[in-house]
Amino acid sequence: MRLHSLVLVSLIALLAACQAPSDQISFSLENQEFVMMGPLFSGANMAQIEVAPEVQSFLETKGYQTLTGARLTAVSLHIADTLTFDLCEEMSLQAVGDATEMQQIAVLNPVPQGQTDVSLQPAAEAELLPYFQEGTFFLVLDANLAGDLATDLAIGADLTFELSASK
Amino acid sequence: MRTLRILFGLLFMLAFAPSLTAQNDGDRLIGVWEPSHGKARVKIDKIGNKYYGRIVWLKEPNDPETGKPKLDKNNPDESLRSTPLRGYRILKDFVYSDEGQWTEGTIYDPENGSTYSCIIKMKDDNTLDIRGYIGVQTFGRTDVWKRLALKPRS
Repeated sequence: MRLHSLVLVSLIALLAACQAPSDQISFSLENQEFVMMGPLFSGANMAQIEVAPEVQSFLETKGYQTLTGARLTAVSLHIADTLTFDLCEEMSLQAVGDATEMQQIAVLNPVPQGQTDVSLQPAAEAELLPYFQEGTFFLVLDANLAGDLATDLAIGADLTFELSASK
Repeated sequence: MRTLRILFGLLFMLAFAPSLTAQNDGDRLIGVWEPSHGKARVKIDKIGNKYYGRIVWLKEPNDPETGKPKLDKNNPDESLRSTPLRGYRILKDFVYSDEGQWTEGTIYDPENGSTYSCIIKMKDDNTLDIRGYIGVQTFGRTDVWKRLALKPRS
């Protein structure tokens, strides 16, 4: 039994040693825009965008070949000057792909009042590698609205990811 | 030439009509539904080709302990426990598979923070059997959900 454990531990150590070390690289998706189509009613509303980040070519320009992991590290949202985020009580962000299940990746509750720029709290444990491997995926912004709005609600977004990549 | 165009048009319609019908059949799930306990209402929408359900109404929206809106305090990821339950997406990733069934999805139970495999069967336009299970369908529980705005019977 002890010998088995020893062999198993050795094999794991060997595999770990063979694996190329990963580095962390920052990657941004900027100037995205979520539009909730009006008229909007109080309560749960959502907007979705389809993204196709060019991660592979980005990594190659940095001298990396393989993406081994991806985490969301920052989400900043901004709204038109004429509006503030006062109408939004809480917001959360999800990722979903055709072949990858939906996962919550960030939240902000409560939304600070009187602001035109806010930051969401990224999920600590959300692994986004499968979405990047799919190439194209959706980002879904959910917001609970405190009241009705006769027009569209457009929210700009900048997202920052920490990619793990090996050479 | 004109006859040929009409013929091609008909062939196109014949080829794609079944998938269009399946899509429309799948969309019958879209709407607001109430579980049997009556404590919540769930709105089902479509994102891409899959169906998702969010809590849009809670009978008791506030946590009796804090007096504030209920949060997803049992989320396995601690960093997400400030997410409010109102607006929470508890049904995820359902694909219409045919004959009034939506499969491959999950249902989240905020009471214990667990996610279960789930299958939805439409008994009639206004009634769903929602079965959450672990592993195989035998080990699960079925709840009956009613459509909130009842459609007239056809």
